[in-house]
Amino acid sequence: MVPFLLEVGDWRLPFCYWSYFVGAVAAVIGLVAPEPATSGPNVILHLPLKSSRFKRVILVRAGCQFTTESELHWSV
Amino acid sequence: MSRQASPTMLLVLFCVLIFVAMVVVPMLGPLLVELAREFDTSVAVTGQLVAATAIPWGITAPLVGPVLDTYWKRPMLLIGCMVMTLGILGSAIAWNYGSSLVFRLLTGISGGMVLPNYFAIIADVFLEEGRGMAIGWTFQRDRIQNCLGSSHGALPAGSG
Repeated sequence: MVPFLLEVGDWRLPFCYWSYFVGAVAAVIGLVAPEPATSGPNVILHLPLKSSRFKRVILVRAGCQFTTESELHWSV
Repeated sequence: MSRQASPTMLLVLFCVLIFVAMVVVPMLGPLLVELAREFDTSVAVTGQLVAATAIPWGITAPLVGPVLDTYWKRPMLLIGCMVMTLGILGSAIAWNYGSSLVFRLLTGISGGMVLPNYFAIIADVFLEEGRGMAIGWTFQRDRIQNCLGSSHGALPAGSG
């Protein structure tokens, strides 16, 4: 729909050019917004300090990394 | 190539985005009579288009939050803007009340995606000392858009 083809007084006109306005602002933000810090989900799991060694080994095998003693940082 | 803008530039852009996103609700006010005439219904029924925007907005916002925490905000923000553009453009080509209702629902869903994203990105970009100022600027525009939103709907439509 082209706004220039609509007469002043047509109820479609505000919707029409406002949609173009939103699209234009979104395009600019798409160009300058910060890039993603990671490429995928970034999940932090909390394990109790007394969790079993077996459980930790299984999680490490699954690709998890321990960031602190009680926190597991898993980047997929 | 780095595409990241300065925090001030981002704040200005986000203020404009929040302004244009929030105007989609009050802009309906002056158009209700015209819409009622076009869709051959009453002004009271047409007024429900405002609720059709607000209800999915309120439902979508808390659902989007956990997604933003897991995935990065930028894609969600851009998807929200794209859906909003389609929703508003669809409102312009609506052929009956039902179709207009569907497009307003779509606009409401996109609003729920854009607004939480703004706060999440502001929290990421601005450190504690600048965060209050950034959110304050947004809320200044939040009040202005309520005034300008009605005028925006009324003036081009010739009903103001």
